[in-house]
Amino acid sequence: MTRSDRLSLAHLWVAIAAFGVASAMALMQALSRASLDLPWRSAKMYYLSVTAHGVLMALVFTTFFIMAFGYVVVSRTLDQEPTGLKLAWAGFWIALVGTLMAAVTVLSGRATVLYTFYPPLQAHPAFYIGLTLVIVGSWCWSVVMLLSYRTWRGTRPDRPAPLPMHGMIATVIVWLIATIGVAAEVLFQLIPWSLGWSKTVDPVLARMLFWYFGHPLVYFWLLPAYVLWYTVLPKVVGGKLFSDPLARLVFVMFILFSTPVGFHHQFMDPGVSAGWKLLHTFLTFAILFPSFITAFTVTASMEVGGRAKGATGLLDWIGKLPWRDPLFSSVALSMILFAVGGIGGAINASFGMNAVVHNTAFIQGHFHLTVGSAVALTFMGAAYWLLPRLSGRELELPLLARVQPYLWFVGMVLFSFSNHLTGLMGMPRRIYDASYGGSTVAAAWRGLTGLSAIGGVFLFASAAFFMLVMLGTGLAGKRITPQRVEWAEPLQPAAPGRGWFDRYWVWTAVAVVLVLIAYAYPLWMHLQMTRYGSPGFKPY
Amino acid sequence: MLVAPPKTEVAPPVVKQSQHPKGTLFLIGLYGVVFAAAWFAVYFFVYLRRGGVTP
Repeated sequence: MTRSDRLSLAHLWVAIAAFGVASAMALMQALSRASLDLPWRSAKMYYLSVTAHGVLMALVFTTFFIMAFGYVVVSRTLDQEPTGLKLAWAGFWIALVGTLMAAVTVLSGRATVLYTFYPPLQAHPAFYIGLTLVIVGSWCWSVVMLLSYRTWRGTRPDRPAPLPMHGMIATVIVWLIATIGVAAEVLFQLIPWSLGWSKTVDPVLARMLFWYFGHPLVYFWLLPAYVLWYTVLPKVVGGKLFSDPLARLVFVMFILFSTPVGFHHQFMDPGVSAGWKLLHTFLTFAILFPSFITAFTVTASMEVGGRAKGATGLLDWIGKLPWRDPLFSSVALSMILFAVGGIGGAINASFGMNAVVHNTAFIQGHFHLTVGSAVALTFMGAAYWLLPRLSGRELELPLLARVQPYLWFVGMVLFSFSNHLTGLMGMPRRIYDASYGGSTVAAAWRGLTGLSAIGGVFLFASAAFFMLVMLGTGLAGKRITPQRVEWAEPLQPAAPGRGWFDRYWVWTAVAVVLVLIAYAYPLWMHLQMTRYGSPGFKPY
Repeated sequence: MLVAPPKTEVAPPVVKQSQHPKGTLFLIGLYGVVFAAAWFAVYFFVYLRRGGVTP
């Protein structure tokens, strides 16, 4: 095993462990919302588990998986070890210590602030410091990724960046721009406030800074999934990538448009004028386009693969695809769920219409189709593909691996669609007891919350299958010669020289200008207003 | 003496480069219709029916 693979594996195992704990928390929530009389059920336990699920799934599982995959991309596309291995390991340990600090604080009931940690809900300082360390660890990863690319570029000045690396560099740029917001919020507001150095906090400013980070965070999760869709999936289906330039264009568009969109999470907030919210609405619709292009290009790549196997009709190529391969089925099913999530996203992002779905169960229905499906299901599928290649062990329990993506799909359809509907019927999100003391309005949600709970059971079973396969492979998998990590070739050869898509400094500069246009004036205006701070609240 | 029959080479799958992805265009077009229909359905039957309030 190479030093780079050992580094990737360490990150992958932390991601898998976080996923396992987070999944257990999710089952408890789904059953609680259906008002099932569980012996340990309480509001305190419910909100603790919502926080743990969100933090471990959305912040820890994703970040560690992405870091693992980033190092795989460096070693397998640039044909070199990551530049700065010591820094990479330092980043791993810093992020791991931070994860443990945050997780222990949450699980011991001292940070029940949900994964968005909106003030004036207040957590123990160890929670904020722990999350800061996770971010610092990810910055170390970002620096290693950029240094590795620079090392490669130094010896190959006239070649285009390999497409997987192009996607990961875009991920790093989006992440570095986005995390400025959360770093400012945590370092200048939340840590001093939680330590008692300041008595009050400005919740509106904190929310502006959080959502400056919070929406591009979605693209930090999504871009590595897109890298897998573009550069691994066509190979798995026996085809070729339909268009290399379209794929490169998509990643550049994400660099440009990922960040200046955060106000669409704050349409109901005071402190931001309607004009600025409308600007962010338009920019949010702009960010839909790269995903539309992705849907076309990746599906076309699958069609190329299906036709290479003899399909001739309009849609019979779908039947030629390798539906028993867990990587393929994970990605294909996650794309179907993501397509539905895109519709909900357009409704969320519409300035007026947002009023009917804001803070309702519609939102959790939506993001479980995006991060909970497009991202998490893709990452699970990728883990089946990666773990044997990194560890040199054969995938154990292949039947469970084959069934697991379909279980996830069924569970997510039941869970997410019922939450969309109850949201449109007015059911709030993040509520411990959906019966509202027996109100007649809440009674109408009852059947759907039961359906959502059944979906939760399917999802938990799927997650358990995934964990069994991972642990079985890691602990007892038969030793094999690892297969090579292979990337898809484009249908038409990529342009030979270093093109405009590789001019990352240019795209970063344009992205920063867009961020300044979208955020500088509203932030400055907010800081000019009379601001009212709030003391901290710890309901549990 | 038995002579093994000559092995027939399995041809690699041929990836045709000239065809338009008609199936994909159909699916994406269908998705576009569903996307627009769902958005307008929520707009007319939920949002406007509740008074079309804008924050």
